Amino acid sequence: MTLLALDRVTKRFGTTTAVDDLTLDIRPGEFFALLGPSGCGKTTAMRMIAGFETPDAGRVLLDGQDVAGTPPEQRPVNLVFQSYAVFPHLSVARNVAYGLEVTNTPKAEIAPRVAEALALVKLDQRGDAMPSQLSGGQQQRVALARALVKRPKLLLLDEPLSALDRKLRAEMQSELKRLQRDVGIAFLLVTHDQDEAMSMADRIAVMQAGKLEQVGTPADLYARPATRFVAGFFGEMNFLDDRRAIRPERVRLSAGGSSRVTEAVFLGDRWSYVIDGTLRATASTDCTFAVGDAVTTVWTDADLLRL
Amino acid sequence: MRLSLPLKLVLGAALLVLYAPIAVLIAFSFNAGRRVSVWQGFSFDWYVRAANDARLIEAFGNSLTIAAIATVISTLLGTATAIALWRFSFRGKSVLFGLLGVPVVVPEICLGVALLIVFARTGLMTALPYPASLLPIALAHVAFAFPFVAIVVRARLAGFDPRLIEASRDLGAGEWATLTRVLLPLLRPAMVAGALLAFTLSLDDFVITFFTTGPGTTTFPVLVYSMVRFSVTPEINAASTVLIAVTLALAALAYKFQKPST
Repeated sequence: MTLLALDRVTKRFGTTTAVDDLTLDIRPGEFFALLGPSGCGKTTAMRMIAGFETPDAGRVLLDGQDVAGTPPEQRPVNLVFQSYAVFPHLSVARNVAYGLEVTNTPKAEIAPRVAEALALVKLDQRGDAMPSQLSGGQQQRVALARALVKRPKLLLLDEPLSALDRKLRAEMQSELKRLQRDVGIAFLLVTHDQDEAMSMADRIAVMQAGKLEQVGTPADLYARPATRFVAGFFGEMNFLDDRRAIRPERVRLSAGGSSRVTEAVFLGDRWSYVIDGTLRATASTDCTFAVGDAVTTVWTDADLLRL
Repeated sequence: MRLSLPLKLVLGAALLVLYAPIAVLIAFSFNAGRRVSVWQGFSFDWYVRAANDARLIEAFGNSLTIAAIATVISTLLGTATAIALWRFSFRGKSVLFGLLGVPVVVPEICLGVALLIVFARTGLMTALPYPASLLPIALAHVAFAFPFVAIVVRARLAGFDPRLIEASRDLGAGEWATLTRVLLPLLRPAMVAGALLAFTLSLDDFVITFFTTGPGTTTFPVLVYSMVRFSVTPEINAASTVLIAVTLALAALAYKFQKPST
């Protein structure tokens, strides 16, 4: 079953092709991440889903219906902006009520829904506050509540964690995951941070230069990358030649041999080594070598990734 | 850094030249005698005389009416122009923006003569009976006042996050609801500041009004000019003081609104 489908969507800006023949599907209730380096077209793809950009070719289907020509205000999709875009002249509660007020939702229905949405993001005590009195993290919660109160079929999140500091980011990651489970709405997360995508998403689509590289679960992408780009994008990777690669944790080290340890970094829970200047290897803390030690590197065919 | 003594003297002299005439004008509006240069005691007589002078009151009312009409039109037109320049891209956009500056920099006397020719040619100056005859004057004031509103509103728009417009539409608001619920409320301080600016510009305009008033219609500045050609009486001082007070109060309000609030 498919909630949202992008069917061979292409978008050009002048001479550059931002999104190139992109085909994707998102299922109801799933946490989907669109991942790629900046400029890869992921934000443009998201803006086409929201209705702020029109595809030059291809179709955007919501519940099987082509939404071409449907303006953003009529799409059952809501967006949490990277800059939050909280209305500075409205209180927190009025911000959340906005999307209901402009669509003529009965007054009696607005107040309880706003209260419910604020409770969901743990801002129920701050309804009367003005946005300028809130921290960045709180403003983002307002933006989230404001979108969720609309009960969209799909919630779009544009780099939601990039403006938060590290501690808050980790907190918000698990919070978003919890929220998504609680409300059961499909989330589309747009991000350039692979750790973020890995830790939150059920499925990830990796994009590069406007093209889709691979779609799969985080475990799939990590264990079976389809392209060299995907292989290099998640975690560390040793490329042995054009066709074969191996993860540092799959490289086993034993003492003695013709190779030399050229770098040794202690990471607390493990050691990270560089062997002969190029090959990366990680090892548990009971497997300790010093720079200059002679080692042998060992792996089996099963450890290799074929690209 | 502290001011050195010579700088202090220069500053003092500059302030004296700038403000002493105004101070003298205000002081002599309270003079008991007829003379405008010899102090003969304190009184409110000239304010009472001014308040009872039907010509002055009518002229003052005309000025306020013209300023009110010009302000409303200038604010609407100026705000619309600023939003159009910000929101849309179209051919001749930069030319339009350049044209906005023209009424601001063109000598008022030239604008006055130009409007006089148009008004005389079209018969606008004499066609309408009083008080409808105030309308063409108000329109002439719009011509130089609305660019000021547009410039003030545009400055506010420069710092406006366009994502707020997208957020509004994303949440289900159409163009009109977005305009009235998000854009205009956020522009209100700039619109109020621009409106007050337009009001004060219109209220004390002499040159353009002088060229565009037909017979039988007088504004306050034009009347004062015709009165002082015979003699300067403290009555004019009193009326001018009232005008100064009104303009200063409005300018102070405009300044307050123009400061960013959030």
